[in-house]
Formats: sequence, C-alpha cells, structure tokens
Amino acid sequence: MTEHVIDSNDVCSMVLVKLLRIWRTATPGDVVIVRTPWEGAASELGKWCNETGNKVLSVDKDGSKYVVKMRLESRFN
Amino acid sequence: MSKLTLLLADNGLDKLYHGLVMALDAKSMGWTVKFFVTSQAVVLFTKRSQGRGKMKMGTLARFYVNFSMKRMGLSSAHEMLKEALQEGVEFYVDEIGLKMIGFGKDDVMDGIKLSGGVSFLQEARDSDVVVTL
Repeated sequence: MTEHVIDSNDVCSMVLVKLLRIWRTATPGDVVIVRTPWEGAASELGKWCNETGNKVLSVDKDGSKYVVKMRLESRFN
Repeated sequence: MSKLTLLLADNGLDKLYHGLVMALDAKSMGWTVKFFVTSQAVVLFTKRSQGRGKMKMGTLARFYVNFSMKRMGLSSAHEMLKEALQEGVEFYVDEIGLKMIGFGKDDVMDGIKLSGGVSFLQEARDSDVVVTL
C-alpha cells in the first residue's frame, strides 16, 4: 500500500487532475491524502469517490487546511 | 462512461475558466469531454493567445481578481488549458469564426481540431451533460 499526498491551494480542478494521475497508476488499496484550504473540497472529493468507486476514509482540519484521506478501491479504466 | 459537451462563444477569460473547470472535473471522473469553441471565443485558442485574454469586468475589478488569483496560488486559464489538452479534452474550433477574425488553420494551437455546427449538435445530442458559456 502506497500513501500519496496532494498538498495544494489550487482550484479544485487542478487538484482533481493530480488525483486522476495518481489513480491512473495506483494499485487498489493505495491511500491518497489531499490537503486543501477549501472547505467545499471535502464534499467534492466525496462525490468524486462515489462516482469513481473509491472511498473517503476521514476528513480532518489541520490548521488552515482540510485534510481528506481517501482509499483508492477501483482501477482507472 | 458519461460524456460532457461544452460550447464557449465568448472571449471573456472568466467564461473560459469556468469551461476549463468543468472539463477538468469531468475528465477526473473518467468522462469523455468535447469542448466546442465558436464566435468571439476562437481568438483564445490561437497560438498567440493560448488561453490568455481578459476577464470581462471593470479595470479595477480585473486587477483585483488577477492579484487575488496569484496571491492564492490559483492556476491561470492558460495553465488549465495545457492540462486539459494533456488529459485528452477534445477541443474543436469553429472554422468560420476563425476566418471571420482573419485567422486560419495554421494559427490554431496544436492539438485542436476545426469543426462546425453539425459536429456540435451531434455531440450535444449524444451527451449526458451540455454546458453553454
């Protein structure tokens, strides 16, 4: 199991592109941690997971950033 | 697989930005994305512009938004357009619109195809989501 970290202040789409590139080469079971200042990102990532067959494990706050932990359960196709 | 078709007909950078957000979000979920560019928007897809242009707002507001985007570390439309092309968003520029502003096929950014209204209508009919900007 590999843990990937995306730490970005950028607009959600650019974070999602980074997530897509990780998902494309990831093995099911890999964990992705997204650190973002955007509160809406947590629900957006939850919806992304529902659509793509992946799972949000936790959402926490660390200082000014939201930390969303996800497990990649599906393969990109 | 779901499919999104976008139609951009305005040369304001803010509308291009919204379109690119939709395109990249859809791509991140594995959707097929077709992005049609017509009318005044074609100028944003020339080799000279490459997604660089002006937001349609007052000078002070534009200055403030540009400043805020840099301060917050947000990507520009130019950077997002490069990512969209790399991720396989298919862009189609209206050939007539291009001719109308004095440009030709060779002036369009690499990786962008020419098309017309019939292509848009057929792609839009076969799409799950259609967004016009």
